[in-house]
Amino acid sequence: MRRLFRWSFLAAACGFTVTTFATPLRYAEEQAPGIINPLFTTTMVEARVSELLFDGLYTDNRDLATTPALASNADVAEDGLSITITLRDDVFWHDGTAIQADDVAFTIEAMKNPKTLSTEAGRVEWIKDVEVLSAKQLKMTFVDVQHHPQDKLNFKILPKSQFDSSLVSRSHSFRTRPTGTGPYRLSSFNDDNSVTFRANDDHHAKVGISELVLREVADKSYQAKLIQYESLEALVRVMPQDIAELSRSRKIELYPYQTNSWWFMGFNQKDPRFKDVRVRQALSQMVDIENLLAPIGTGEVLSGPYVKSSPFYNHDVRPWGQDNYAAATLLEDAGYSKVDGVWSKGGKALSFTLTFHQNLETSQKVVINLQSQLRAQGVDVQIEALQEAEWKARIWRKREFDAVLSQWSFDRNEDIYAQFHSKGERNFGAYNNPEVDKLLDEARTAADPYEKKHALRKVHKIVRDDAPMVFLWTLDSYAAVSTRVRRVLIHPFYFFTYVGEWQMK
Amino acid sequence: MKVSRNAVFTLALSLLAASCGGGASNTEASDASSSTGTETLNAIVGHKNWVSSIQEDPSELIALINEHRPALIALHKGDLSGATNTPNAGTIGRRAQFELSRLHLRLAEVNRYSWLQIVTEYKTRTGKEAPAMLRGYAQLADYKSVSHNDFPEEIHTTLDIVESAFNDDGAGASVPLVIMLSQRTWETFENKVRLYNPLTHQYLASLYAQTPSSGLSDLPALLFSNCATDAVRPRWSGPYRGVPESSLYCTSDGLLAAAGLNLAAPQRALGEEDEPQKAREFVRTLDDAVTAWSVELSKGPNPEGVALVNELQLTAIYRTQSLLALAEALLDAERPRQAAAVAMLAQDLQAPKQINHINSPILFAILAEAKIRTGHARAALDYLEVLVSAFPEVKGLDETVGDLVVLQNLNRQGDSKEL
Repeated sequence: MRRLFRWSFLAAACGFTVTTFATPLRYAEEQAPGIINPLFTTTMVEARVSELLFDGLYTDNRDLATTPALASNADVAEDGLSITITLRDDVFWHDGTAIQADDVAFTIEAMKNPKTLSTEAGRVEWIKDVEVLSAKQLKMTFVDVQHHPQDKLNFKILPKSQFDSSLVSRSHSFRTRPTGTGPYRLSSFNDDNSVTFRANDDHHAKVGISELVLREVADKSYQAKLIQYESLEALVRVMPQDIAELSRSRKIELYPYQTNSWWFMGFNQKDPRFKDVRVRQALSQMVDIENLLAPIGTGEVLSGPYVKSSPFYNHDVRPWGQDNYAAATLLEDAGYSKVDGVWSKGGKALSFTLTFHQNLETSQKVVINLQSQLRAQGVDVQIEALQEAEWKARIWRKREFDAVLSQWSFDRNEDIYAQFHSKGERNFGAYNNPEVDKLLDEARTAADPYEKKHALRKVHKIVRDDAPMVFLWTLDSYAAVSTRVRRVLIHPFYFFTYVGEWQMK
Repeated sequence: MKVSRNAVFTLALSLLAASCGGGASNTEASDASSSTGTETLNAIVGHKNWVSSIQEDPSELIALINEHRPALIALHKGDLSGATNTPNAGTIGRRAQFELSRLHLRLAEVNRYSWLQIVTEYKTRTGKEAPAMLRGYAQLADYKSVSHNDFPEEIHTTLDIVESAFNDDGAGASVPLVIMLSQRTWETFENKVRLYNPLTHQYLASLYAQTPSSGLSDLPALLFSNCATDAVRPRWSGPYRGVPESSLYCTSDGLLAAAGLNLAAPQRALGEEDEPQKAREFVRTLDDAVTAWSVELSKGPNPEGVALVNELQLTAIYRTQSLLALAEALLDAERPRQAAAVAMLAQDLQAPKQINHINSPILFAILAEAKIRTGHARAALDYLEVLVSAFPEVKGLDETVGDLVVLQNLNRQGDSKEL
């Protein structure tokens, strides 16, 4: 230890960066990850943690171009129907064993296995088959011709040795003892709900910061205080009302982290009350969205499933806007009448439960205001908060809800297929419009960028009119990082893709 | 001219009230003396520029305010079109025109890079050569190329229409006409396709640069500027219609030179590689010195001058404009990552999507270009969105960059998550 201290002192005196004394980078999330298993990742928190622990065959380089990660090279067949991939020789799982082609084949099989119910199954639909050619080589064949299949091979690879079969259960112990190949390994779940990650010394690329700690801090404003008091080194998302204060600090730097996110109140259209488009449109026009947004901060009210800067946003489509008269007319057309100030039909009041994530403080504010607004219009709203595990069970798997308040975040592809196609695995509200399906299918397979843009702008218009959700807003989104952290580069979606290059001063 | 303190405050507050509030200057001082060489600090504190001139003697600025108040209010808050179109804008209007020229020149670069990438990405993503029309548009957008001779037949009509409007003995060429032409869609590819005039920003840059024969000088030329230098002059020459060099307004590197940075050779201060960390560290060092300078300015002998400097946040504006000049020099020196880092540190994040006295329009153009050149075209759209609101002629460029984004992501697998 003394020798270490001497060498560190000497290194520091000579101007070399010293990271020996494991200065951790502590970052805040509103809630700890519900599950650490890339097969079942549903939230951005989980995606960010996956980025620390796991690798894909390919990843984005700093210019967002596809670059090999676990793959060393690849040959795409001339007919575009297959690819042969060779894995790197210098990649090891966190348990020290070498990665094999079997692991890749297993991962794809597990994602495709209908009984696994992987939330990431859609990412491998285009792969028909995987053949292991040798310990380090595999061949994938595709359903259709692929021009550059490497772009789609960034899903995380799992170790086959940790599982009994490709039927993986959500409750498998892997969720608390994950083994990856990523730049960090899980070190401990701590009593205060924080999670410690330590640098993977066997990683093929050097890692500049030896320890990361995820701290669960539900109160976003408190997060801002903690970074100012230097009890944290990074905030993943700064609330708009805290941006001003943090931007004035010379010790903190703000980085745009625009994940193309938007908030919504979504209806379950399997529920007879919400099957009627007039009811959904009426509810859309009862909400004063600007008023809901004001306590949260600055943002932009949206009219559909894209943020305003998106190339797919149809600027000819306006948000519904609050119009109580129009809303009343629609409900009357739908057979409702106001009885003692409450909308009712067939003797039953229009009443529903609005469900939201318990740990998200900002969601609580919105839900309470929404409830208040709708009650003032004669719609009875009960509110229900769910913990993460229950949310995944009831909303994602069982679809047992009336209406939900949540947010979606999208990477730069802004692919809304999963949310709005009738077969989309994230279409919780069972929205179904054949024309939208057709347009989404066209957009997905479009070989022409102009066709794709036009198809999706049409989708925006139709979806707005169908009102499967009340589209709320997108917020100005920044991450805050202490200036003690150097060489920071943030991936626009996954955040930690380049964390190996970060250094602590 | 002696002016009462109250009058100064009234004038200043009327200007500031018309602007957005908040400033980007990092007023909280870190350990300034420990992170800034004494030499740099002294150089900046002692540096004479238009801000210190106003602080010493505000009479010329007050006269400008009295003579061109609406235009000056508009210019202060970044409303360049407003400043140009206001009646009796005078020298302030010409100053705003120069900024518009600078903005559109930068947007012409954004356009140029976008079109170049569209052509290469088309082949990568679709496996096919880009159609002749797209290649022709890319050539038109590449105003820096020497020869525009080999245009496809289809776009000769495009060129003829725009060129004839522009060449019409100077009388037909006008900003409104070019703006109108920018919004006309050229549906020449397929019925559904709308390709926007790729010459718009080049022509607007030239039109706005054609200021009246007497060039700007003294305070009207320097106000709210950074002091451009010989290093940026080459940007103003080129194959497109001439920009009079007399429009350039300063001959020293100003704040940046005082901080030890030479715009003509930024690598001496910022390292040999396009590494953002170096750029960030330079800006922090600069900010420590600017804070010290602000303190010195506040002790000036002329209370009216001091009040004006503070109320109009002139040091913050000078800092921002200096950083934007650096960012442009970095873009020109093929260092888009450093340019993005510097421009982001120049931005007023209290109102990130608003044009105001700190977030001048060119900030967003610089960020858009830096993002496109570093593969982050989708992020560029976030910045162009701000400009489209203020400048309808940017709509075509916004759509073009949107097309590039769609092209770059063709055949990719999208990812989405909750929260």
